[in-house]
Amino acid sequence: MFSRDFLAGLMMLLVAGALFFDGRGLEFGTPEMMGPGFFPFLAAGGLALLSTILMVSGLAAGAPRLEPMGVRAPVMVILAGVAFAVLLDHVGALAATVAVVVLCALSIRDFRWKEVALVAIGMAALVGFLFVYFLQLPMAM
Amino acid sequence: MFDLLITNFSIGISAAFSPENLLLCFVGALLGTLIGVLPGIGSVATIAMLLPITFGLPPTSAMIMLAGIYYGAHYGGSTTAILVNLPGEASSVITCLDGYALARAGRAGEALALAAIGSFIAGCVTTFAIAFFGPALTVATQWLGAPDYFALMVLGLLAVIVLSRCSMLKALIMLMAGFLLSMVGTDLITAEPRMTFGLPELSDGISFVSMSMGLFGVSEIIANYAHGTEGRIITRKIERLLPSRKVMREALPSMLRGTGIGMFLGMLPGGGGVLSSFCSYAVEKKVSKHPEQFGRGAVAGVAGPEAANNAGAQASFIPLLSLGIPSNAVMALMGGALLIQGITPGPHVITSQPELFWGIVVSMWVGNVMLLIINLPLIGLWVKLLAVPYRVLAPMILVFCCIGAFSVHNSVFDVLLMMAFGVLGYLLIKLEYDPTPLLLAFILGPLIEENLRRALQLSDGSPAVFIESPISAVLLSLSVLLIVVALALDFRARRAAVAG
Repeated sequence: MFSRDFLAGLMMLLVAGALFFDGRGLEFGTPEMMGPGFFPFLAAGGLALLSTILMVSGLAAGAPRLEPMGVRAPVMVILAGVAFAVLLDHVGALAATVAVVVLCALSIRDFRWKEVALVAIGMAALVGFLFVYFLQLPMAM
Repeated sequence: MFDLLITNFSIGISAAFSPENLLLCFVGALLGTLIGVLPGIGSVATIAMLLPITFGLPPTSAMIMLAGIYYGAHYGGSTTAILVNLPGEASSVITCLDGYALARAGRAGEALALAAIGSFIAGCVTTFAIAFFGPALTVATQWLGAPDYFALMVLGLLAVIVLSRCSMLKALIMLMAGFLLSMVGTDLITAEPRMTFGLPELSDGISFVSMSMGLFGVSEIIANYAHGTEGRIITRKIERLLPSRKVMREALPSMLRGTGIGMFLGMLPGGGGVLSSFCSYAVEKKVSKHPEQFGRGAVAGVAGPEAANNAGAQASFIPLLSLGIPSNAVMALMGGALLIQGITPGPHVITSQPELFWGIVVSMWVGNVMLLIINLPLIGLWVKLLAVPYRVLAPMILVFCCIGAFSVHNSVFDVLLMMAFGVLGYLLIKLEYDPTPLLLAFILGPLIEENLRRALQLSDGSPAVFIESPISAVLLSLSVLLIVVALALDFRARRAAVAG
């Protein structure tokens, strides 16, 4: 397996690459008349260079390994965000709240259905009263 | 001089002491403690999560509420550190050492009171320091041109990198990533969209709130869920709250020394609470007659660093409000909050909006008082809250984060962006990156770009302009020196680690 620093460098190299790729059409310009691409290219180039150095240093023997990562928690949190976004637009704040509570609770192993149900109902009531009714945020009940 | 100071303070007092603002400061301190007391959530995460509730307010009220939130959050963090031995952030690590030892010896109440009283004394002294030094620095900035500003920001950012928790290389990577992310959105000169991936939602740039809530708030929830914080919680009855006179006599000199250390280090770019509390702990151990007590419940080991931390954090308002340079993550959040209110932090704030500047100065003191009078008596309640399991609290926090991110622009895109940054933040934690330089570079990115562009435009593209201006030349030489020294120390430490 790869070392922690190799993966850390790789991740930021991909970030630099993605942003550079999307901004590749921007005009670079000259130092006295900088184009919109001047800074993005410098920053992306700098990021890519530094990330590569980190990757190379991570190839050294005895570089620390990556500790085990949780997969369930990040996936569930992303799902909770997507569910919140979709349900808020198409159903309403109460459904979105319940979805976030349930999905967030599913990301831990020792969740208890009774507790989850109580928290979901309590939070839905609070959100409905405080944010939709009282503060009148622009969202449907 | 004193007349002026009194006039200025009266402006601040009339701004901060309106009934609404006092109430906001109170609510802020209460909410800050409520979130900050949760295990694993430090003051940066707390402020990031509570930012959206201040946006509907006028700027002065928003900053006053944020000051309250900050104090509450910090105090909540100390409470968790003392009672549960779980530091929410780097600056509470020191508090854990002797605070938890005191708590185990049945003196938790005293430790908490010492932390609060130490912070209060530091806050009172530092408020006056800000009132003195802030305006003086502002006057000095009148002579700064575009190259000097650029050099000043470079120095500030490098100082943050040198003091960052991760290696220099990783901190530089975070810095570059922050710059790059700050450029997403519409270019101010040509109005061309830059790196928006064709998403119209990104044309105003990446939402600062979504980014900071994700990187610092949601990432903590994920990390705590993935690795679990259960089972370490102790709840003890708090018996004695106020320290005896003898203990106070012992603690007072430490608090004053800590205040001095924090005030000095906080004013430097890159300084602030963390550095101050570490320094103060080292000093207290040096001057103590019983250094062997440190780590086993030394009173000075709690009182000194807590005072230093607060003085340092508060003094770092000086570079933010007078130079526009945030020197740590908390100040970056404060600066971001000001930007969202339409105010660019910088030297002009003090002249164009004196009621904002002086309102903040006074409200920092008010926030401190609020903390002392509401939080100390409520300690029993916070201890009970610590007993609520994380699996119940985390879904609630996540719901509030979602609604908070949504409410800034009433857009669900910001909620998705926050979650994406939350996962990124979790990866950064696992890969041992410190996201603080990223946040600072994100805030300072547009300013650096603008000043560099302006400087090179005036000099017809010649980089010599940075050496021709004496101020910029000095600042840039200092930056180079800082990097060289830090790299040398880094190298030596690594060689020692390999050899040892």
